[in-house]
Amino acid sequence: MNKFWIFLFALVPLGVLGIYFWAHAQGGALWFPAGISEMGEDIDRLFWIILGLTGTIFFGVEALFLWFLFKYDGKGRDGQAVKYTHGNHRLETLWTVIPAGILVFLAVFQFKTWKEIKFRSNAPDVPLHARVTGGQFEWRFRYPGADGRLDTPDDLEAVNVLHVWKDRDIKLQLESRDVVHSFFIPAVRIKQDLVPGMKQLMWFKVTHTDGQPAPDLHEIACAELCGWGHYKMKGRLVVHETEADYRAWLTQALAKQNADQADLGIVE
Amino acid sequence: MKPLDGLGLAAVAAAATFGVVLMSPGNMESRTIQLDYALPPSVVVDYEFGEGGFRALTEVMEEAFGSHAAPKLPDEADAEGLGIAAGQLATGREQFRVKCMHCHGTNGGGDGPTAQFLNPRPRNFRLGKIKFTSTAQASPPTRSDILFTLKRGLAGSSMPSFVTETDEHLQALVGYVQYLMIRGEVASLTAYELDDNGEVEEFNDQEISYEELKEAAADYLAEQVEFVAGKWADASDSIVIPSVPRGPLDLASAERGRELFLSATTECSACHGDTGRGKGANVYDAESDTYKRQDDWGNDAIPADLTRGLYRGGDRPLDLFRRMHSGIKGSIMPGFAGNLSEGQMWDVVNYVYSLRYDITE
Repeated sequence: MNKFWIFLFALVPLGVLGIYFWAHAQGGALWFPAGISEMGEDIDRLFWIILGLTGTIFFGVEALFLWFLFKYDGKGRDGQAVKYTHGNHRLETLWTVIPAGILVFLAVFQFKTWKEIKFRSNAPDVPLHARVTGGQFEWRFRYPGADGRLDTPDDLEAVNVLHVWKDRDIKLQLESRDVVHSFFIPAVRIKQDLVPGMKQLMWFKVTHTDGQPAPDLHEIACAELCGWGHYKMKGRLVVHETEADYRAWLTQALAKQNADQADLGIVE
Repeated sequence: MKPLDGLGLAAVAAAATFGVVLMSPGNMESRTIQLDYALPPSVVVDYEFGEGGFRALTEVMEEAFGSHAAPKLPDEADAEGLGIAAGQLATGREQFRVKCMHCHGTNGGGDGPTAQFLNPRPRNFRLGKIKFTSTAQASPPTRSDILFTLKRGLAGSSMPSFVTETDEHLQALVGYVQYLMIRGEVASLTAYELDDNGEVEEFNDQEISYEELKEAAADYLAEQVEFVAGKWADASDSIVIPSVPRGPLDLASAERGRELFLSATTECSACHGDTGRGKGANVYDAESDTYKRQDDWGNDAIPADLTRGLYRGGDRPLDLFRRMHSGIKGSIMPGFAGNLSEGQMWDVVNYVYSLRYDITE
């Protein structure tokens, strides 16, 4: 085999490696923004373990593949026909058992984290912070007013901007107005699909915002291709330091929304 | 190589060349100008303009408003009064092409590639009006109104919120939308004047030369620019702010509102139905499941189902009051500023909220 082809095939793993380091060097713009939530560390740990495992196997297989190409390039066989073989029980058992073992390990290892962030029985016992309604192509947030209940006249409705406060369990109800969307806050490391006709729950706690340039830089994105305007479906998460800060914002936003003798603009 | 392969290859090459020529920027530009630059299609249909009238109008429009690639405000328009800062049109055009064009079309005609899939249809700006404004019935929108729509979106339609965009981009977009709307209205009015005063006919009968026709068009255009841009600059003088407070959302107010809603004074229920679910007898034919009336853009006028709690023009009490006061522009929803007192309009607003919320507790 021509050595040129080996070089071409080698470009694949090298390219992957290059993209990985390049993206990493770009920081928050291309790589994960710094985590700000309670479960962020667990998610990151899982991410690194899985990336490490799959990465090692990928590069191992690539190295083997390239070595075979190099070593058995057909030269020096003096025109002898190639010998085909079929079946090797020991090998097949080996390459079935090892990946299966890895999958079982991952399934068991991630279970605690999954339970904590996704099982409804594990949802914090706090009132709903807001309802998120996804629709092509925006997020609408509805916050309960003073009565603590949704769908009453004292609610606050805002578009694309979610306000929460630090060190508090935030529980959201997610609904879709049209198609499947996915509510994703990368800095919080949580993602939940919105299914039309279903009410999903999602909860998280922001524990630190240190090192963040500005509170409104936490992006909210739709992580499920939901139509031609999918890319427009982004919002931002604003984290208030204390509950008092949040309440002050809510009071001011409600005054803005309900002003009847002045136009105070829209709630942001 | 077999002859068939050669032919196939030639066909592919020809198709590719054709595609490249068709898609090249120069060609796109000229096609746009020929087909719909600034002129609403109704101009071509309504008046028997012929080649000459159409050409004169297109030329004076382009001299005044710039080309699609380089938009500008006419000299007669007071950019400062309109609130359009220098450079905003260029930035606005770029932003419009990225964020708005695929629905609202290159020239804001509401005819972008995705428009046909949407219901309700994206706005055609060339009629010079938009539905939801803070101003009195006869006034154009203010800059804040356009900004409000950009930031808030139109709930229940395909117009999303752009609240997370930078202020610079949003302000530029507002300016560009103002420009598209003013340009569209001026084109229509100038065409009307040219037709009404007979210059086009005189040209077609060879009584006046093309230069004279164009001169007349330029004069009418200057007048209309002054009129339309003036109207826009004055829009903020007619912002509707109630002088009477809303009053509590209680059963007494909602009941007063309900009586008005069902009364012959307002005829709300004739269109919105007795239960507020839309499909009133005046507008909806149940037998054929069709709507009887259209709005100014030629789309079916579909009264809102008020029980859904989706208010396109915003869900603040003030927004609903303004819908009552000035109506929905270009649609069949009238304003009630002349028929009802402010207190009565607030009662109807409260009644509308009571269709969405349980206020009996």
